[in-house]
Amino acid sequence: MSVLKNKRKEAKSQYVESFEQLYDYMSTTLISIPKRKHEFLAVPIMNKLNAIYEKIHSLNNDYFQFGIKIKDVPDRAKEVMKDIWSIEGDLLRLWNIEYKKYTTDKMTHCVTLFNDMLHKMINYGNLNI
Amino acid sequence: MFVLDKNAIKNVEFIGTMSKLHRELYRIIISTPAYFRETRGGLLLKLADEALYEVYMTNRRIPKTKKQADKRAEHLAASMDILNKMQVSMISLFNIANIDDKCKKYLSYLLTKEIKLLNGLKKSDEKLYGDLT
Repeated sequence: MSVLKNKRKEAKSQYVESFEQLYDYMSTTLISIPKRKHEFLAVPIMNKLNAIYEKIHSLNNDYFQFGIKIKDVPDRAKEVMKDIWSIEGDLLRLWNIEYKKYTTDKMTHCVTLFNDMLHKMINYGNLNI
Repeated sequence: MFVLDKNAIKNVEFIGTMSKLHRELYRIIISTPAYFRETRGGLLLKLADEALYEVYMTNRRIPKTKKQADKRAEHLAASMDILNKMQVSMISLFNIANIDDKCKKYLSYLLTKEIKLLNGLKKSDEKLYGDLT
């Protein structure tokens, strides 16, 4: 029983940790955006990330503390993934406006973090995507 | 997810023009008064964001099947639709906000050029990918 619990903890930490890495990275890079542009460029992304943060933690808590039904996991994981995908347009806008600041390396790193998160979410929810 | 393709901005004219139009609109609207920025201005920026996204999606991959060609045509139609809607909001921007003539001319030039380029692309796509199965 304890071994199973540990395995579950690992599975949990993978996607939550992956998201937390992404969250930390995004919040630190978005701080450097000039104040006037902040409201248009940074706020929408941070709002979406905050909403995802809550969903992910509630999914995690429900699974480990209250034992949500396994059949509910894919739906909720899919919902989180949809929210993550919806940031794509906001990122494109940010990169185009702050064209000089965002080098291809920086953008690639950001996309890697996003893809890593999506990949772990697919694994966690056993999604066939 | 994909990164902003800086080569495409330099080399593909319709993406480069859209990118310039998007940046220029942000530059201008951010400096307009809050009453405009939070109403019509915000709406115009939203349209510009959507247009940029659709234009990018149009060029995301070169179609090899009919399904891919249809998808490209869908994105192209969506971007043209949004750009046409932007014309209405631009008129209101020019009328309400205090923008100098040079900027107005440049914005109009970019928008008209982008619409023309996309029209041309639509025609050439029909020729190039019309026979795909």
